[in-house]
Amino acid sequence: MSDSHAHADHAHHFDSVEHEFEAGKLGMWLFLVTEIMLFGVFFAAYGLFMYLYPEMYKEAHHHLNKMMGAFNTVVLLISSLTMALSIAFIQRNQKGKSMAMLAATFVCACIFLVVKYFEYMEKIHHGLLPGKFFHGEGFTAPNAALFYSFYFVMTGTHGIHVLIGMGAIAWIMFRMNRGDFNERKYGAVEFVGLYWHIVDLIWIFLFPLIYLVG
Amino acid sequence: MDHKHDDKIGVQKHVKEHHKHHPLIPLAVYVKTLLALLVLTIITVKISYVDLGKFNIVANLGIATLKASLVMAFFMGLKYDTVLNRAFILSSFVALTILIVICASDLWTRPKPEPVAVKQATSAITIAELPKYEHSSPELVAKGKELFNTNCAVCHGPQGNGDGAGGSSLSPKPRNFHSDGATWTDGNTVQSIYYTLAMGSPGTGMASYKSLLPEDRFALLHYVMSLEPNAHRVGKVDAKGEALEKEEVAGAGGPPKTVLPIDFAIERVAH
Repeated sequence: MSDSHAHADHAHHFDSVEHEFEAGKLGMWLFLVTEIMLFGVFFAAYGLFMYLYPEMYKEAHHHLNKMMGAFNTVVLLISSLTMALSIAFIQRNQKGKSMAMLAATFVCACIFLVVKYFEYMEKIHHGLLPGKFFHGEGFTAPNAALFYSFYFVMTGTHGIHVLIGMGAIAWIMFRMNRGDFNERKYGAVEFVGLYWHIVDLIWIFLFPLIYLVG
Repeated sequence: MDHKHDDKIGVQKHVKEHHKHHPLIPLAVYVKTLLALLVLTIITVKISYVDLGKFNIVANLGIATLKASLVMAFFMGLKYDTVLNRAFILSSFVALTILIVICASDLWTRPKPEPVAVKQATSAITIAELPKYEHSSPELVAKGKELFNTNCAVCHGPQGNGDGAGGSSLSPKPRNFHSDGATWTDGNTVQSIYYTLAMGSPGTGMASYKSLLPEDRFALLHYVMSLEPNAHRVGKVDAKGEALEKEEVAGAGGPPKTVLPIDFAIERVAH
């Protein structure tokens, strides 16, 4: 990014800042479509095995901590609100409030990952691991390792998305601090926001399907 | 706030033009959206504690879809977005539906991996002998203790305190058999516990132990009952338990029972 936007507030290959915004947004939605397809395949596979082994799913999911999952759901929902408010404030050219909301979103993401860390540690401690690493005790239904394979792959991929989201939010905060954004030009904030909402949206499906199946 | 060097009228024109495409959504709309999402989260968690059979998953998915719609419409602003962007995101769900329908139709048109017929060691009890097993005896309790150690201790703990390693991550926690007998979900008479052992306890980690012989289950329940500090008996599912005893014992020596799914059976054979 050069500082040429002191004179031109949009990249030279766009007609206007609106043109740039709309093109960028379309590109972002296209990317989000691929994200939905990525997680969609996980959900499809997870659902099909649920059909094959309903008893195993029921038994295995009782080892997950519903309350931690519900808590994290609330944390992500709140972070979605703060993200949306951050955009609403920059649209009104209130940069201080917009920054505060971005910071709040970042903090929520940290809380989410800390809770996730404790959940993972508990699973590892009890040997509730994917595939051949599984050595949980007291299971009556066979194939419980499959459930934990799904658990770790799906929540793990989601967790990586949260980490990437935190990086993106930090980058946006840096740029906002530098004075890159105003009420007309806030495309990057909007796009990071869209990404963050998709991360929340995926968790909205992950939580009931994994933690509340029985 | 330092302004750009554009003349003020120019900026206002631009902003006006800009907000024609991106209407300013009142902040209250965002807050109300969050409140709705939180209420739906509470509902979905509450529903998970009620056993509604197949309806649980339908309700969960329905609420999740509603929540996702709220996030997309208001937080992501799709409600105010262009038709093109809406069509894009819709296309992903259409593609996903096609994927799931094709995979599911493949699965549904094949025979489900059938539980394979495993010859279960047949029960030695006859209906006439049932009363002998319904009453506790030192032999039954001793045999029950042995069975408890191999089958139950991993979750319920070696002393039956509900503190086994396998159960430590379970929610709700496995039963502590030294606690008050009135707190049994299905009651704690012989027939009630017999029923729980056969059917498991829905909504908890307690699975069905139908793979154990009826006489072994009688031994187990007498051992478990011997751990209880008070002899207060509540029979919540007595009738069901009694019917089950009769059915299982009368069926002894009948056709082999199907209790194990195929891959588990193959593993068993391999060992």
